[in-house]
Amino acid sequence: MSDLDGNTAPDPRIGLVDGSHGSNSRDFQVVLDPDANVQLDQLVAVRNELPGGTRVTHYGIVTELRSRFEGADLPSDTARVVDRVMPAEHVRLAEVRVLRVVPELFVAPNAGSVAMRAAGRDRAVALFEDEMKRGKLPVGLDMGGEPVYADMRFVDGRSGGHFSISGISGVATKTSYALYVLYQLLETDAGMALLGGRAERENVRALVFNTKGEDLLHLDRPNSEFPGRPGARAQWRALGVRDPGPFRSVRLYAPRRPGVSGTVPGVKSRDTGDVHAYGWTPEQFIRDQLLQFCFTAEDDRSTQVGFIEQQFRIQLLRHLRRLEGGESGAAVILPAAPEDTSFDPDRLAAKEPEPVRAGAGHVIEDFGDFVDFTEKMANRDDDETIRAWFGRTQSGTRQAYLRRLLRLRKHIGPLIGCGLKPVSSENARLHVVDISTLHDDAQRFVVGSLLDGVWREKQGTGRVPLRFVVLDELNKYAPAKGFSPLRELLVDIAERGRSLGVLLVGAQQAASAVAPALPRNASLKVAGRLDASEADTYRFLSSALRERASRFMPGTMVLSQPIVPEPIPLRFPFPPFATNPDEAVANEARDRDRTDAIMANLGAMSGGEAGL
Amino acid sequence: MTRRPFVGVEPFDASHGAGFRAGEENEHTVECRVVEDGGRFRIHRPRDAGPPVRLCFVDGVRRTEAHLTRTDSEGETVTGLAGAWGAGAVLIGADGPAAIGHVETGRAVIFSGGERVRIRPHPGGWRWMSLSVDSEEPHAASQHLQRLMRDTEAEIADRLCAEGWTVVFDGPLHGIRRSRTAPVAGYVKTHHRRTLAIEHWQTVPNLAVGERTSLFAMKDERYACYIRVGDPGPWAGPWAGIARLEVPTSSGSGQAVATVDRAARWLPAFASAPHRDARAPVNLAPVARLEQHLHHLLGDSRLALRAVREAVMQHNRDEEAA
Repeated sequence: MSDLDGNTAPDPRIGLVDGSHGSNSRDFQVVLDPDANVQLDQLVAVRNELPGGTRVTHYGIVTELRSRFEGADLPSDTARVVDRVMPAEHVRLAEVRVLRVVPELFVAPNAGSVAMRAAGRDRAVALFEDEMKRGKLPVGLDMGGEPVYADMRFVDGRSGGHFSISGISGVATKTSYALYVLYQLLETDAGMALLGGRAERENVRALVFNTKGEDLLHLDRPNSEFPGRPGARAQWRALGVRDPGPFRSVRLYAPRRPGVSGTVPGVKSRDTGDVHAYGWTPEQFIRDQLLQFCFTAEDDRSTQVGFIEQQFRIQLLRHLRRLEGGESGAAVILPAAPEDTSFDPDRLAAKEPEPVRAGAGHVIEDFGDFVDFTEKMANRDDDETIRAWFGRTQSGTRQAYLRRLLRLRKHIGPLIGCGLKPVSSENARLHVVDISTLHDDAQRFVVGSLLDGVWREKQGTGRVPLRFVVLDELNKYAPAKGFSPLRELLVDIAERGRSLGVLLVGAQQAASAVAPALPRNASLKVAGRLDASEADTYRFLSSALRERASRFMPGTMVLSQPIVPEPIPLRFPFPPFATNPDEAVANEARDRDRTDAIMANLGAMSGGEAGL
Repeated sequence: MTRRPFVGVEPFDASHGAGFRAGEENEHTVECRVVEDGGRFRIHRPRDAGPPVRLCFVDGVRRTEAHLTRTDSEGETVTGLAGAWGAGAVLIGADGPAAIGHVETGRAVIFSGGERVRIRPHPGGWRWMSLSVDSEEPHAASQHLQRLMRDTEAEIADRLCAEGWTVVFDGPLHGIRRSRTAPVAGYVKTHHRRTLAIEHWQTVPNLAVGERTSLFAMKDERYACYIRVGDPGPWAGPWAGIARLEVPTSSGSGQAVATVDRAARWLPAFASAPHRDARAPVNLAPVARLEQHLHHLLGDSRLALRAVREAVMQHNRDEEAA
């Protein structure tokens, strides 16, 4: 690697590498000059000439700062020094962790070497920007307000993928950060270039689950508080975004209004016309084998219930027919399947069901019908049928299975019905699916069903087009312990998703509560404010940073990425898009005013015409 | 007034010897003339002098780093030493922290018997002046090293006096030569001999912190008085916490009184704490810190010894080659 000396403008000196403490190849201390202004996270460069003439530069990040009176040995000496009774020298020290040595030589910086502020090209080298040859994504601003980049290869799955975002709810701004990343990717010119140009970007999809209020159902609207934050625009500009605004290509989904059989979405803060109701028809429910995602609670898999579900799911596929004469998606379950019917669920699911008359079997038009059918089957006297549908299980187990299904009737019921349409990946890049109003069981059902859909769709298509999935409260879907189809699906996505272009942007309050494979496979680990009692689990942070992270203010995160050996604390700008109904309110009022004005104009025009 | 007999503990750490050794009469005992208060010996409580301004403390350290011998071709052996010294000042200006400054250090090879031996500098920053003393007394070289230190101290003190600082010189006021009219005071921590008539001498321990005795005249054109800089504790002997101040007579009695008055008021603030200093309270905190700093600047004594050995070996090789 070429020596960088010649290419770098002289930087202001901050001090000397401490010779009393000793430096090593991983960290060193800088004795700061009296006039040096140095803060945590500042980047430092130290140039040395090795014996033999090789010139080497150490790049590091300031991880701690100290100040003391040199010559004062006892705490009480402090007052003596301040009272000018005892002479002492005020020394300030900066602890520096080595980020990079150029060329890559494992040597310690020489004691007494001059330490410089790493700016300009030095800063870029310190943060490995020169190594980000396949593009770099601005992931935030450092504490000095300069952009920090992530290597795109670790964002888009080429070398790695998945974000794991941890932090306490409310102050860690996990969702906001995930949206910030999506915004950079999906809505900016730089993001478009990183994703491979316009054509590639048009195929990229992001699936965002809204878990809190109707917050994310407003991402397509400008944030009314944004203009009141003068600094935010400058921050966006620093991150390469000249004209920040709302997400432009968005489709919103919500479950249909409860208690209503139609397809009106159950939303309060938006017009029902702006939001699509989502759900699955009984035929889709059976063919997509979504029954497995009904049993994702922790105890469902520790009992025989899971076994029954598997058996029952395959039998449903074997006996599935389409109700003749309708496109509504109603299913008919035959009393008996033809002898030669396969037991391979995938082959069965791939086959279009033949239409039959309603009288040919049990008609299922909604989840209630399905539960009724299950109950009917469970109460059959005929042992052979019972064995076929429920396996060799005790009647107690069958009753437990049934009980669980009955309980789900209320929760999952609104999501299954004739005429419902599932969340499609068409027509927009960002798809926001509201699950906030759903019961936990139903939330897991939706997440499992949609992810399974994305996962199945991507099998065999290769890495592009990319699919990003933003999911908060990962611990709910992939808990640290236990077994469920949803957990296994998420683990599978974490492990293989990057090569198939399914990239998880997962968030959780505590990484320890999530299946270990998820954070482990995430190339980009981000932490906001951490729970002090939890901080021990974040091994990717140094102990000082863990301690610091427990005091982070909202908007401050720390990012660890594979090529930069130390995590870099960063901030991201206030969103230009509404992230909750309140931020969108003013816009609504403005919209209404505008509509009123147009209506008034129209009225005036028609009035004028009438007068003619 | 008679007092019950009592036992006191010397506040100095035993390794430093006793601070008070004037209990027995010896040939050094003198009875100096009281020159203030019409010849009556009394205790003064000077008025508050306000916070110290342009006050400085001057002190030095020395260290013998190796004892040397030189044997000539006739087999005659003389002794010498390699040693280092340093001196400097603690400056308490009008504002800002107390600062160490005017630091000077030196390193020399000193032989007795009038013969200089030139030792070449050694890598790592070791270099020695080559000096000799005519005397063949065993301590002559060591005394010369002491003189080098005292001379450096005196030069620094002179310079600071000329710049208008009130100089507190750690030790007796011997070598101050030029700035006789400036405010300078020698500060003597130990009492090796009686300096006053016995009836005056016995009243000295009555001093309270911040007070001084009347001035008396010592030989070598010095005035002196006793002050108490600190209260060492109820277990201490009567002379603990008492120091002697010396001022040059050449500055005139008015200047002398002004200097000791100021010093008596200012110095108690600089008294050291017993847990901090083995010679508390009389070893003044700035001086202790300065000594520590100077010792530090002289470098590691083990490295110094190694450097002397290697340099001497080189010297012998050079001599042989020549």
